[in-house]
Amino acid sequence: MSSYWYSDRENVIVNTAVAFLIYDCVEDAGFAVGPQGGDGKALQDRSYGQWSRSIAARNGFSPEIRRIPGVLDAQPERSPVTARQQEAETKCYNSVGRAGFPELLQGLAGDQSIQNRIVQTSVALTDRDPEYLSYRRAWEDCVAAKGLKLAGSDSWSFQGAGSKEEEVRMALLDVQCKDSSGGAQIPYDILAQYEAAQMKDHQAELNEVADQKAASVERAKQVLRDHGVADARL
Amino acid sequence: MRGSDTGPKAEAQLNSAMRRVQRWWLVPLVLVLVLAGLGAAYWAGISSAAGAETPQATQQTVPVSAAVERRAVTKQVILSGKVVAGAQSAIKATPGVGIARLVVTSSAKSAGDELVPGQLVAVVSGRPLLILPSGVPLYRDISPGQSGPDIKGLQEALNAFGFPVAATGTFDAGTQEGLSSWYRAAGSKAPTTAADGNGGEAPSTAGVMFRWQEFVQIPGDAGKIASIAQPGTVLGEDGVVASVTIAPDTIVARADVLQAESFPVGAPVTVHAGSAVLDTKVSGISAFIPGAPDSSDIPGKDITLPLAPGTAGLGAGQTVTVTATTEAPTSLAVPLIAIRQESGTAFVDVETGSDIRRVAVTVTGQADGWAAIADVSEVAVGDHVRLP
Repeated sequence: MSSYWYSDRENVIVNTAVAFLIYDCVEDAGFAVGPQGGDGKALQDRSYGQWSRSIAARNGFSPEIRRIPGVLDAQPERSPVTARQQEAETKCYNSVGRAGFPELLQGLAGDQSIQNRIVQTSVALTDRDPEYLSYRRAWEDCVAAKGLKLAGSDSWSFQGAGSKEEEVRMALLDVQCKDSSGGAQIPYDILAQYEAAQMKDHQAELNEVADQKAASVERAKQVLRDHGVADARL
Repeated sequence: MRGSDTGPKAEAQLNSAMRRVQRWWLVPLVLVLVLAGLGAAYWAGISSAAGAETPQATQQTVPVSAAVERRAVTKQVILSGKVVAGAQSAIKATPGVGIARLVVTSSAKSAGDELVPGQLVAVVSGRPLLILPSGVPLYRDISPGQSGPDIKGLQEALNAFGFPVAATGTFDAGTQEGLSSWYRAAGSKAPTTAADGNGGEAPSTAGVMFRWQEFVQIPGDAGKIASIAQPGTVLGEDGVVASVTIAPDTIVARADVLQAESFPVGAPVTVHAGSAVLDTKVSGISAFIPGAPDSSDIPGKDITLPLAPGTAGLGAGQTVTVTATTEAPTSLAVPLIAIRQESGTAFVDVETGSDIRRVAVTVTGQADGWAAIADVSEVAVGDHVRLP
């Protein structure tokens, strides 16, 4: 499914293009403004809790943060703007909006896209899958035997740890239990299988999404080129 | 008469019979014969090999299996660590009054020598550097009649060195005598109040004083010379004469919080560094050390292992692995190679007569070529599992 959402890098490109268009609007209103630039960040997928022993040993339950190279170098902090400029910027944010770029991001509230519907359906099917349920029971028994308490009956998180050391310990035990229950990747594999089946049924619609995404990214790149960004940064 | 046979015709016949056979053609003939022999031998070999191949080709792979056992499969936790050089302390000479520069006159010790209080380290600019116990408060010159805890400490030290004096806390004649004896034993003479600043020496104990610059201390009162300046060396401004290792090298390995549970203080561990193997015990475990964002070290606890001086193959900076082996309760166990995987699920092939049953298993530990598996109803002790 991931190929039907913006990748982290594509998202940075599109967002930067939108920012440039907003800055154009602000400058048209008579104010000087420059892009902020800088790298983006992406968090690991933890839909079914921590899955990596090495990340658990380092971060505990905190998600691993990956750096996404930015289109522009980071700029110095902006100095405070006047009230009139702030007003102009707000007006431009509202008028430009997404500038016609589609929001192809997973997990947005109220998203009725075919991709999101496929994910939601697959998640629901996974939750009822016998193999998943068996895996979940084995994991629950294991973590309970190790003294860990779940944050909720259907949660993959735990009740709070008192210290970072305890958090790391709990995260390691969590992954250990997932391994002993068959492997931390099992729920992700089951979900992917349901998604694959759904995708087959909606391939035509997904092909349209793929085209829409490709066009959006290409248009964003053109916006960036028009604003002096070299191809090497795209 | 035969005499007619000796005529021209007979001579011609005789010449014909006695004609020498031309031998040049024998060479190719011999070659042909040799080649024919070689060819025949080759053909015979091929035929023989071909004949032998037939039974070999008909051999079948004999399945190999192993019996399931109930045994304790120990659990091993392996850390990577490093040999950390022991702490060192510098022995410094301080210029006395009238001494323009510090030059090593003679060295009493060499690299590798043990160093303890009471000993002479070196002679610098003609004056000795003697070691006092670290507990003696060393801060001033002491003249006859002066009192204080530093003098009492000196008196106790002299007693410990075998120069008996009364520990009165006053720099009296007995203390002067003891101090003089210590200097004499070190091959020198004690300074006196009457002497000038150029390392003056007293003819007797009269006026003998304590000059603090001529004494040094070692943290922990024991060490080993790591390096020492040679005679003739002009010391730098810091006056360092020798470097003393005051703590032995140690091995330090970082364990994450779960791994650390396998390394309590006193736990036996095995250290491997190349071909060097060392069996030792955990001597210390640190508190939790949070990870730094720019460090490759994981958050966790540092496990410390002692390292005897001179241990071969384990020099400072050497990377090592540290293995803790934990006893585990007995469980079903199969040879490790019997464990196979498909789609992330471990299984074994259990033989039942001529049939094979695939049974999913949960591996709970592995060591020494064995895998411990959780009890499962389809596998029992004595069953045979197929080996690949």
